Amino acid sequence: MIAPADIKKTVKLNILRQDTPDTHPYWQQFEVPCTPSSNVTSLLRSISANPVTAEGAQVAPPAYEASCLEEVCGSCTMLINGKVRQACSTLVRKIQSGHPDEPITIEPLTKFPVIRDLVVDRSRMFENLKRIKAWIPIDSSYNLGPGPKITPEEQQTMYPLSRCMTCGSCLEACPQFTRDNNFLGAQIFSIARYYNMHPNGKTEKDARMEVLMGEGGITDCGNAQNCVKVCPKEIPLTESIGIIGRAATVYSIKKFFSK
Amino acid sequence: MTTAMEGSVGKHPSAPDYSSPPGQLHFWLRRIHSLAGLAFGGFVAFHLTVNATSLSPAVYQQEVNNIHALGPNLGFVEFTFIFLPLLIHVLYGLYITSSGVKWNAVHYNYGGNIRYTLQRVSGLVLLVFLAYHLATLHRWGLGLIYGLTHWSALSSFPWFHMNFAYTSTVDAIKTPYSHNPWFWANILSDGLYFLGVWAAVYHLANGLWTAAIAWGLTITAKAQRRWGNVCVAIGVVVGIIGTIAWLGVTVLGKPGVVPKKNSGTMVLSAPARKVTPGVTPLNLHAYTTGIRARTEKKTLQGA
Amino acid sequence: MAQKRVIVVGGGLAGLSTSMKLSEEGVAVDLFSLVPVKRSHSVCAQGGINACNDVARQQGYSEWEHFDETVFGGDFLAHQPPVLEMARMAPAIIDLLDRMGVPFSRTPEGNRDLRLFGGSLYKRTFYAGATTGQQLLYALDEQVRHHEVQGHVTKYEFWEFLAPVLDDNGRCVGIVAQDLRTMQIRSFRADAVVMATGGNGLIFGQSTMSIICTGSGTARCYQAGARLGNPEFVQVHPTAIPGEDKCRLMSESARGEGGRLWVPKKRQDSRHPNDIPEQERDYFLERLYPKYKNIVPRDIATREIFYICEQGYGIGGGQMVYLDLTEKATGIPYDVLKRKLGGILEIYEKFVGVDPLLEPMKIYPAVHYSMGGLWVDFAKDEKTGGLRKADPRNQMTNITGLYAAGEADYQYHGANRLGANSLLSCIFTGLFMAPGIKKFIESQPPVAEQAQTIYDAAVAGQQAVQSRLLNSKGTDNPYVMHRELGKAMSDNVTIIRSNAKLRQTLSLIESLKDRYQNNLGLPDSGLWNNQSLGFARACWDMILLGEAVTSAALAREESRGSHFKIPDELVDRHDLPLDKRALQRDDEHWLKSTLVSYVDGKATLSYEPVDVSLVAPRARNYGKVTAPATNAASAETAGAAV
Repeated sequence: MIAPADIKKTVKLNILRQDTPDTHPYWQQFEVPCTPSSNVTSLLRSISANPVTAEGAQVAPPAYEASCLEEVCGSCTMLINGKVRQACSTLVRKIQSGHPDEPITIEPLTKFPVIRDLVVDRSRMFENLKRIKAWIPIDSSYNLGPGPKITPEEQQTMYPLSRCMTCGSCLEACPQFTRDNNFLGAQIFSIARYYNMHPNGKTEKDARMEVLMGEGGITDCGNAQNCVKVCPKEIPLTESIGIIGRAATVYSIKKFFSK
Repeated sequence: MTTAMEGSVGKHPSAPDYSSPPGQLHFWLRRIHSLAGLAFGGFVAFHLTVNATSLSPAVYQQEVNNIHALGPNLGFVEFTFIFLPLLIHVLYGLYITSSGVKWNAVHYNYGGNIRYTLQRVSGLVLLVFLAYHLATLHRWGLGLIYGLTHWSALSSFPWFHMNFAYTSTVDAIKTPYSHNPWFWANILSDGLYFLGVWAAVYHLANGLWTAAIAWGLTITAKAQRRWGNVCVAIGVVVGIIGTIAWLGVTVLGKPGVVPKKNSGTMVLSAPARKVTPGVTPLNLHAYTTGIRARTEKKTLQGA
Repeated sequence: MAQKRVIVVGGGLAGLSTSMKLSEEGVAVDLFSLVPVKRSHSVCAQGGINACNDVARQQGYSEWEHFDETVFGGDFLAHQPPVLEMARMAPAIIDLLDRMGVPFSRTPEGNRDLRLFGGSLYKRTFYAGATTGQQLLYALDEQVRHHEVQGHVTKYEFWEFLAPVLDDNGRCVGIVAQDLRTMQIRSFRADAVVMATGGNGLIFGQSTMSIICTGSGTARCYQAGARLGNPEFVQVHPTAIPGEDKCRLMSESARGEGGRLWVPKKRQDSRHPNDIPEQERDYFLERLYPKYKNIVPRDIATREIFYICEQGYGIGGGQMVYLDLTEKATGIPYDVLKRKLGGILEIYEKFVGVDPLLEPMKIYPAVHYSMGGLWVDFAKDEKTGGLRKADPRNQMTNITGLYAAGEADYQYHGANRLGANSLLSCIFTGLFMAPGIKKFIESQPPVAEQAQTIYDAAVAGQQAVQSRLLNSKGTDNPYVMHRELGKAMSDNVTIIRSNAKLRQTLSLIESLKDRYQNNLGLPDSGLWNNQSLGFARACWDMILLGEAVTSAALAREESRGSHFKIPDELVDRHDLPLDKRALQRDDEHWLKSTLVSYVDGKATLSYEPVDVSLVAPRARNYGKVTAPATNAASAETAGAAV
């Protein structure tokens, strides 16, 4: 699996760095060893072990988030060659096809405030989960028997939705989601759909709809549909958007006439 | 006791307060925007269809007569089904386009994103076009400019006249300087009309596609593709009709043609419309009013 | 009087289930995590979670069987009462998870589906596709978020636990922690502290664990006086994609669902695996273990893979074997496996670039789980044979008021963990210990009355460590030192152990300790989100854990579960089968837990007996066929081995 040393090559990385939230970003170039199985997190790791720029300057290693390295934790979301990706599953040989000498550019996400270098503050996503009551209400953790029966079809619809790892790719690529507005974005619509589907999660559906139909809610979706293209877990986000749109239509009519 | 929040990073400044459910004004505004778009889109399709009849000036005149048969109600109908929806759609559309959108079709050049971007670009193009269209055909806005500048030339622009629907439309689209279709200003004006027609067609067809998602009619990618094909078909049909309408009053437009009451047409013996590009016409006012006067006289004679 | 508070360090399954249960019991929780809890390493668990269930029960299975399998799978090193209690509570845990909305895979009738897993002949593993850990973690994360919104839990994400704070009586009364962004170091009072900080795979360099699994949470308690239990028991998972940055797990469920391990019968066969006909493949686990076939416990499967590669039958003569999920080998249609195993198939496809349903996967064992961890107590219930409910002793370390849960503790799995028992043990410990913790804090004077001076001293101590690190101007980069440690640990302290190699590793560790103290160079001396600083601190912890693991392994003169020792003189006897080379299990001398204390800067060993009060230890070989089999495959292998 690991390539023999003789085909070891190097790759240039242009990294957009920023020391603190309030200072200006700047570019730095690094040249690091690279094998056919190298991915972007492994390149960043080797910079940490030898933080010297291409010009030979000793610098502090770029800060970045990473954890599982197998694309289930959602930590290492960043812009690689201008596009939002998970750094761990971005194999260098795949993004370099044909241009091995072109430097790879690495930037922090643009839709979230930068903490340092490639580390951004994605707490907005987690706060939004609270807003839409992203949980199934249970009485307690005491043994109260099994949950409701769920058909395999329902499970197969819900399961992909539940694989959202809160990475922020859908929001980064969404033209409607910006740092300054309060758009909820595809992540939340899809998660809300998930909880609205569950037999017990449904009990909070109306409360969720109130939030989803408010400022920054479902109506702010512009249907650019980048979300579904960039989602690393291939979650049917646009389907969720359609479903929330339908639920909003139904809920608004219901509310208008009967509440 | 250790206080809970002390020293913690705290929540994101833009993270909204999740304790109070927001109102739904926003939701209704967006949905009304969508409905208004549909209403105005319907008008545009109708408008282009009527104008496509300009291939036959007589039929066109008849259609115009039919519309104006509504008499005093026309104003009400126009206001309710055209201007009000347009106003809502434009104002709210401008608001949503200007409130914190980050276009990114360069890095994410997916079909959907390009359509999304074009929807907004076409909306802005349409806004410019509509201003031009209303100003040149109906003098909207020009009156104000005239009032402010007393630029005499403005008062002599030809505009739409219901009794001479065909020729006045053809006249109004062309510049008063020349009716030579290859005169640069006419190429520009005809081009702007062509762009306007297709921007409207695109905005309508794509708007129909996104509206179906917004209202929750199409959900799966498959359904969206299916409805997308229908929208393309609608776009092609309206586009063809629009192009015919465009041809009818621009390239194929015959200035001075006035349909006779019952059959056939007659051509006004208009003076040669020669205006040297770059040279200010000497008596535009006389020219246009002359046309109008002659047209009215001839028609009366014909009757 | 101020409300009593409990600090939970770690936001994986164990930390979240503890937090949930404590909140429910009305105890205020401060939850600390290096990462947003939703990104904790539990998210990586794939295959499923074990529990006795109605179907298996009607086939003769029971909670007792589950208990017995777990103890047997762990080679009798686990204390039995806690294991029994866990097996008994397992069905209720599944029901709870179900109620919390975990999208368990379903049968056509809408029941929760089951799959086969290692060490059992019954289907007793519930699963959600091949991302069960992720689904369980998210469900608990949501419950805790609900408690957070209600003000029961306060999260401190991107905070690093630095040390427990002990009062003059040695009771744990809080922690010192650091904000990883502002780098502020401060103390937090707590009436009890729970360590749910997971395993320590990173001390082996590459493992299947997340790169946050340095074990430093455990190691910092160890340095503060907490004992480690059985640290030498490290699970090496048989099937992972080898990688230079990490080894990506290919779940046991791949085999549970029908996947088969094989190598070509011909050494160095260079044909494409799909071109190698059935009769020229050696399905070695099926040949050796006709009863359990491909789902023998992990320690055993791992050693068989090691052996077959050692004998030169690995793919291309190297260290890899095929894990075959193609329809040709399994007889299971493409779509069925795609649905059941999608999560892991994607990982293989993304990182290797091949669809594993069309072409056999190339895999090799990798470090996966720490059976050992913080030593914790338990209170046996003589009536039930299990544990006494709500007893403060359950899961408490030897430091009063300091608890441990999940992979961070040493309980439940003995010398080898069975697949799909880890998710269970994490959630079980959290739920089961919480009432005991509540009882404990009620019995103690509130920490709000503790003098501020001990907290200030603890903070000052950590600040001193930090400024020493920030000012270290040597030439040894912590990331490079970690690489050296990892390589030695991986080479010498994993599947096969020998005293010579273990001693060699210990001397490397000695030199690493020295270099760390005298020649460390930190590439970043800033005080804003300084990741090098955190890693340098963890690097020291990893060196100490490496020492604990290696010394305990050196001392244990037997083979048991994952600990497999070959006497130095037999190390190179490749002509002998592994079983013949290795030391045998020695219950007379070694049926005891290793306890490691940090005394005078060194790992110091002691032992305590294992509670085997419920089932007597018995021989463990899973029906391995020892006589040469009649089929050509084994004949050739056997012949080749001579």
